[in-house]
Amino acid sequence: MNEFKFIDHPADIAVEVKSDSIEGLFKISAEAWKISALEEFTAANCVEMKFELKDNSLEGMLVGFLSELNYLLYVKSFVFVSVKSLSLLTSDNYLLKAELNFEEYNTKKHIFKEEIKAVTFHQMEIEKINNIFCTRIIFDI
Amino acid sequence: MNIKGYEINQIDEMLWEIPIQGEMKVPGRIYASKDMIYNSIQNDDAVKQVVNVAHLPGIMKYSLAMPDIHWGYGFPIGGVAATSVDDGVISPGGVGYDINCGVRLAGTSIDYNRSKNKIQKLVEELFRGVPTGVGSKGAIKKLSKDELKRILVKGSQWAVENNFGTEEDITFTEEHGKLIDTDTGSVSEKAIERGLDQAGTLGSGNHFLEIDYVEKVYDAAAAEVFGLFEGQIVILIHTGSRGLGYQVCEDYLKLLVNDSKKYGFNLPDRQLACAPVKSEAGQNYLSAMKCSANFAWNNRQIIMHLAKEIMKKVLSISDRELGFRLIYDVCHNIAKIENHVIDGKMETVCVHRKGATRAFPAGSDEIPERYKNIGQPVLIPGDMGRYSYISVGTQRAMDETFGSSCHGAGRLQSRHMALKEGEGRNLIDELNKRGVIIQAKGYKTIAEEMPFAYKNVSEVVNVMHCAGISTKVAKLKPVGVIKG
Repeated sequence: MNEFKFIDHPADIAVEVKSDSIEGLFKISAEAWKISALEEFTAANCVEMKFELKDNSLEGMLVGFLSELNYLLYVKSFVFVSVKSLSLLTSDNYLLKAELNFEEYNTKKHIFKEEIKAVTFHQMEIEKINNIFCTRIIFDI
Repeated sequence: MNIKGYEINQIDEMLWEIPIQGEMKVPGRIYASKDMIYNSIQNDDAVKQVVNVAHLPGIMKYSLAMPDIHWGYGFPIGGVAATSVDDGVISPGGVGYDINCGVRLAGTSIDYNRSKNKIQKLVEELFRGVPTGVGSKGAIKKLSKDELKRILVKGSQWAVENNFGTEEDITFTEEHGKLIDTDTGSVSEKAIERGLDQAGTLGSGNHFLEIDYVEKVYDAAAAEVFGLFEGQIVILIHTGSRGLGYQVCEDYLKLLVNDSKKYGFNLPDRQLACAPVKSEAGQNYLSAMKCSANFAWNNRQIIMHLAKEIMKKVLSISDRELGFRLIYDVCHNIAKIENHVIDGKMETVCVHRKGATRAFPAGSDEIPERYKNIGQPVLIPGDMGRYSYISVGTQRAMDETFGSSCHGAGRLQSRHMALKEGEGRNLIDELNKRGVIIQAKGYKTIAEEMPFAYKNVSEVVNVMHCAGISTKVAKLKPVGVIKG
């Protein structure tokens, strides 16, 4: 299972994400971010980028991961397309390693839906309930 | 009465108190009418956030909320809290992601009735000439990192030195458009990168540039001093520190979430992450916040100058005929080190204003000489179809709210609900019928920002007026709007 659902929020974008694995939760969160930020598009010429992030909490890791997608879009003009691979290791801290596909930003193809100012920690609690990982994510717009 | 499990008592016509409960360090106080309390506030989790803020180490007197209170991240929007600089904390959640989001009001000598037929053209040219929307680039070429760092130190002085305005504009900007004691090393490379091509950009969402006219003057003496008259065309600009500020908040929230544990803070909400004001982390955040605030002031200075030049061109008039003048510029997302009298003693505190505006009274050293006999202008934007207001700060604000007032209306509907409500309607036509001409990057933005999506700012302003915190000077009616 990998799913997300947008829920009503007075000012910003709120989404509930679920997956049967923690890695899946990160992947589906990235999809939710993409749909919030951009109108649908068909990817063509992808470039692969490697991510390596460390954090001492899963929530911090998720905020960091999605914030990186934000940064790459608004500053480096690379549009997130899909996750090729993602692993999350835990020892003293959490270590995320991922390979993601991106496209170079094209004004005619990639239409902004909302400007995501930031990925917030608000109401973010990654829980495992009945073997399903879930959390709420709120994007400040 | 009881709201969301918290006892709350009415102690004055427009003032409600949440007595100390649980681990609150101070009481909570909310400025609101009875109608607001019973119809909207009691259904909003913002009351819980007022209670949460009261847990902050070193918080003094009260955890406050203005009548535009609604749910935010950490602090409620409309939240004000002062912490001791000696043993209290500074919290990015008490400032917000859009550091120094604020409002600027400029007056002209132009009468609306004589320029009505030019509003359409003005809106078109302003939309063309002022960068708006997601991903918009600045009116100036992409800055070098060194140049951007100069802006982070100089604030709106940079804009004036680069021919985007005059020295007089600096005088009529809160803090003279620049917070001092900044260290650009406290701003991350990512934040710097986000700001490089955003100087002089409006942004999107609820940011706007409006052409208004003064529909009504309530306080003739104050209006005269501020340079306002009925029928006058004015320009209202609402924007902030753009991606640079958002990144600074994000960077420091992440850092301070961990630091809170280091200091042994037991906070009810992660977004209240904080550090002692005097700690290295606290001082670094304060510095980065100041840098972001300076970027925002520079931003509004550039945009105002662009608007002025466009007006001259469209109206085919000279500087002197236009009579363009900055009335004031206020921030409504900021933390500042200020001196306030608390229990009869002068204390130095860190005042957090999150969706709240400074409202200093007559006689304050911090306000322009010209306004010293009247008090500081308080600029309160409403939605794009109804009204905005200018009020003036009072001594009562200094006594009760650390010299703070409300900042705007607050949303009534989510963006999703507003889009649904707007379905099948010709919203541009509806605005036209209200006398408002609009240009926006997308129809979706118009739908999300329609008047029906917002609370009525008149009610918010009236609470502050009746409570004696900031008293009404004039009411503005929008006639032209540009949005990103």
